[in-house]
Amino acid sequence: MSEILSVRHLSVTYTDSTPTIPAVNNVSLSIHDREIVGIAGESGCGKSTLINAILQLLPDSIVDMEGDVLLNGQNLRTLDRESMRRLRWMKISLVPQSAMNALNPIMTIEEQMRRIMEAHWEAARPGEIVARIDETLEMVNIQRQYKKLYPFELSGGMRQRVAIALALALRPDVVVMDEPTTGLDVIVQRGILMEIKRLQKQLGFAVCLVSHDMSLLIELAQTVYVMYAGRIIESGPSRDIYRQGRHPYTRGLIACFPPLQGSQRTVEGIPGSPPDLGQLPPGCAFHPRCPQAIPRCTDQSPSLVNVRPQHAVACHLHTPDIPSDLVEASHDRA
Amino acid sequence: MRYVRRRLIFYLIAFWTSITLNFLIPRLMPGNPAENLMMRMHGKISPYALKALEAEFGVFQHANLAVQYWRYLIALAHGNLGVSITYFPIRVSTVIGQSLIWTLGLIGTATIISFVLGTWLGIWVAWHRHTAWDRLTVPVAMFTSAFPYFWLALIVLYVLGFVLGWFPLSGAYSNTLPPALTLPSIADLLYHAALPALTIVVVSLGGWILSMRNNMIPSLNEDYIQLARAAGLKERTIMYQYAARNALLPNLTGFAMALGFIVAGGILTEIVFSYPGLGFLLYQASSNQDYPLLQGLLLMISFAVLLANFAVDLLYGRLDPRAARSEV
Repeated sequence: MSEILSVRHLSVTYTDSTPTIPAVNNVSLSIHDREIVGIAGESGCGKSTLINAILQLLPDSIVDMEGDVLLNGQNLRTLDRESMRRLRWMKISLVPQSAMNALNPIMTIEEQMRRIMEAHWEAARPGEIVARIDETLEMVNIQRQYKKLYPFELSGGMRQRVAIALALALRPDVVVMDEPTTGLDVIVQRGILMEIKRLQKQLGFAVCLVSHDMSLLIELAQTVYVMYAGRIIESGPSRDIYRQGRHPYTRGLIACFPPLQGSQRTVEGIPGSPPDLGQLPPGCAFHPRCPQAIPRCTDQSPSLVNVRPQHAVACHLHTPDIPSDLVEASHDRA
Repeated sequence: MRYVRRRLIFYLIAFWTSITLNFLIPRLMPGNPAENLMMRMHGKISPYALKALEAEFGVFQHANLAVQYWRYLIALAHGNLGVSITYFPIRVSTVIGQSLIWTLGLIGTATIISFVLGTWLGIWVAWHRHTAWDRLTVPVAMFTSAFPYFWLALIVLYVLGFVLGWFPLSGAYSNTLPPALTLPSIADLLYHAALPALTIVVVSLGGWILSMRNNMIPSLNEDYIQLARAAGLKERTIMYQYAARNALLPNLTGFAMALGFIVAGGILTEIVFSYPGLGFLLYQASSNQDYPLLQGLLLMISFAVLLANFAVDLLYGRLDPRAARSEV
């Protein structure tokens, strides 16, 4: 498996407000060929900013960016506008958060797909575009005659399928999915997720799946990154995160959802709410909500360290100079 | 098409209501307009004209309201609006017909230029909303759209027409050059229309710029714009086909109103520039108590408003599929 998308020490600060808001702070992640990578976190933790930064959608006039985004080894941050425009959707596409509002209300499904394809397939004959539209819609189980309809004439689930078809129309290498099933009922959600999984196998694209739903990420993704207050606080193979998630926040997220298999467990929430990104608490940003906070959490920011190969966590409880009995104790609780 | 039929029925009812009100209002007013007219004409009115006027107003003592209404409808169906007093003995329909072309030509063209230019500038300014152009355009547009129209028109006429003598002071064409489809005549018509058209555009342009800009800015934050960007559509496509097409829809209603009021809206322009259009005529009709002419003009205005709204409704149905399809 070769690395296809690599984000290196990416920081994004919104400069259009006072105080400036550091929405993404030193985030590194990598996505390999045909891999599904999950990014977890509550609303307001910087997930959407991270996606927009990866896709180079944040205007320079409102943000300050540092770090690199490499797609197939090419640094997207140094590309000129027109090269970036040509690369969009051909290499990296997006399934937006709300398909309800992400489709142009006054254009038919077919016209929206056609316009995007025409912007990239400049030499294509109309027949090729039509064939590709039909083929892609069929893949997401939308009957061919529905392409003449307008978004308001489709159900929520169908709109989401159209959004997926739109993202796959040019067969990109990486598809970023921002909460692709939020706002749909559970049964429809399930169907869409199974479809994403099937299409991913069939077409072989890599997925960057962003969600607050930890159970969904653990089920679908091979690797999970957990974000809190603009930082990655834990990352690792999804199996390890689920069974041996170390950060109290990760375990809190897992406890928010009933287990998929095995015995019943009490569903818990995480008390409090995510901090205001403009006024982060000192030390570990999670400490005001953390049930296991120790004195140094309030003044020292923990850095991301490997606890095992491929499994990293940013928590003082798991840094080596912590008395081992405290760490053990925290594990027993999990 | 179901949508077109429903709109058409609605406008036919609205039109019938307006002609009925046009019939009733003069009859609800105290006094008898025909008697007023006889007094104003010092008895010099011919028996034939008096009869025609009486028929127009329905001031027969013996006929009941239903009969009068029926006669009124018949006359209307024949395009018979009665005889003007100011331009006695010319028919009202002829008088209106002669003025209509000037109003449509001047106010109509100026309104369309202003809408198209203002909408385009609004789109452009909204697209460049973080630049100095936007910061400059908004206050300037607010300033010009707050001008009192008659004041601007008088200043422009005084400075450019009277002091500098660059433009004619009045009329739609030179007396020595009657309107015709020849190059010098067309140039002369444009020369006479330039100042009044300029003043209309200056005063109304700001409103179109601001309303289009204000529709565009929320539209630019829509998710489908963000998606179009992520999809690598060309800037022009996103600007016009995605953002502007959606933002234009609320503005069309305003445009329909403006089109409808072309017929009436030129009063100040035509008075200041002595332009021989419907507004000038309306002013004369009301100052001369020319009831048949007034009634004809009011009918004309309501018809124009309804027609313009109907046309824009049809356009709206084409541009916004939700309007056409969701209406059951």
